[in-house]
Amino acid sequence: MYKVLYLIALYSGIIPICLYLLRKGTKLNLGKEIVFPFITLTFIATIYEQIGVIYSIIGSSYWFQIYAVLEFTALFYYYRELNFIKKKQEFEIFFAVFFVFFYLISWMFFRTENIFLSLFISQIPIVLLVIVSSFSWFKKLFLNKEIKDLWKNADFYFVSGYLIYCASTFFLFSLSGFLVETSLYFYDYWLVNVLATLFLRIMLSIGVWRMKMT
Amino acid sequence: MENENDLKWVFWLGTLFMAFMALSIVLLAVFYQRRFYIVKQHEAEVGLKATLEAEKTERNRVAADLHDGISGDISAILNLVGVLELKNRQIENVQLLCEIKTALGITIDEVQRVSYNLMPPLLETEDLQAVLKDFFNRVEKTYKVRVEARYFSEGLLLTTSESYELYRCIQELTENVLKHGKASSIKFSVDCIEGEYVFRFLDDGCSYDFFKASKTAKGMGIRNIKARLSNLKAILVQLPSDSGNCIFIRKKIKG
Repeated sequence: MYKVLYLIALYSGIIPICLYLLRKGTKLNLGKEIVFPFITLTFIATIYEQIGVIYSIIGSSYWFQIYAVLEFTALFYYYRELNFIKKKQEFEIFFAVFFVFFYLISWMFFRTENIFLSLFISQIPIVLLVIVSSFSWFKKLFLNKEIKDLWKNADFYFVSGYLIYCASTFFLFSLSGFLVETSLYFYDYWLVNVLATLFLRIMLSIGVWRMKMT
Repeated sequence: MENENDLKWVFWLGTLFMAFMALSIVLLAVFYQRRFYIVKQHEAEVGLKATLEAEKTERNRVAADLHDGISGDISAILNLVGVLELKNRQIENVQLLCEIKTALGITIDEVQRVSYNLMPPLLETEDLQAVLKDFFNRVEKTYKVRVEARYFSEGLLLTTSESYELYRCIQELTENVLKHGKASSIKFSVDCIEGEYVFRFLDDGCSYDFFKASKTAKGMGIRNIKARLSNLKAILVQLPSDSGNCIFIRKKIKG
């Protein structure tokens, strides 16, 4: 059952980019939509986890560290371009410095045999970015009252999908380092990440489907 | 073992709590956002109604001032010039006085035309169709354009306010195609189809996209039409046309 869910969650990473290309059709200027870097990264992650792990192109420990940078960059770009932040420059500087600081610290705790502590440290700025940005976006939503139907708005799916993903997996990433060193069956807990990832990718897919293409 | 139990509890409670909080925020946002949006829309509608009503009142006042005030004064001047003409028989003066009379006559016509365009007096006493007939007659004479108009056999069940807004929309559409579209013929008709009044407006001028034009800086007149139709709860539909423009305005009949 775990394996089935894992495979579904893994291959669902291909759906958002396929939907994007399908909806884009023959229109030029591919990648103009601000969520494009993130759905491309999701696709690359799926390909890596299927091929890269088998052929050990990059060790999975190193891949998680690289992925943290890519994930932060894609999310940072998305929230920045969503254009709801009042003090844009302060926002950019703060989160860029915050991420670099924690990322460097994560390398200090990096161990190939147990990457979870370094993974959690590198996730801290990402989780903070998602929570702050999501709250700001919802606040702007209420202040401006411009969107008629949230269910038809693509950004709603992207923002809320990532918020729920980060919230659901926060305790998993923070406690994984300890869980893995106990006698507890780790995959029972890692299942939370599998389900959260599946949920996120479904939300991404719906969001891409709802997106207005330029 | 005890530590492992504690770890398990912390993990599951923490995860469920965080997931529940995030989900609650999202669901609250969905539930309340729609309410706020409806309130904002209602406020905008009320504001729009008030603006259009104020505009109508102001137009009424200016039209009345022009017709009663300025037009009357010019007519008085015309009479005085007529008296002067009778008393002064020198040829050069007679010619000059004749020119003054002609200019004053043209000015009176112009003032009356502006006054009528601001607020047609017929709107207060007659059906919208009677006003439109009069309007298109004047358009034919002023712009030397051919107008084929067909009207609904019965009177239109519209309030004075609704008639005024529809008149303004049709007036704006006409002025657009005459000034910008350089149309030489207009076809206009009013029908009653399946509980709706349908105003059909066709012209042979330059084609334009109504909805695209309303988003440009120069589309002020078209945005006014949209605002009026929104206030009336009427719909404008533009059909593709090989030449010129084909626009329908549909208004549901009340009661």
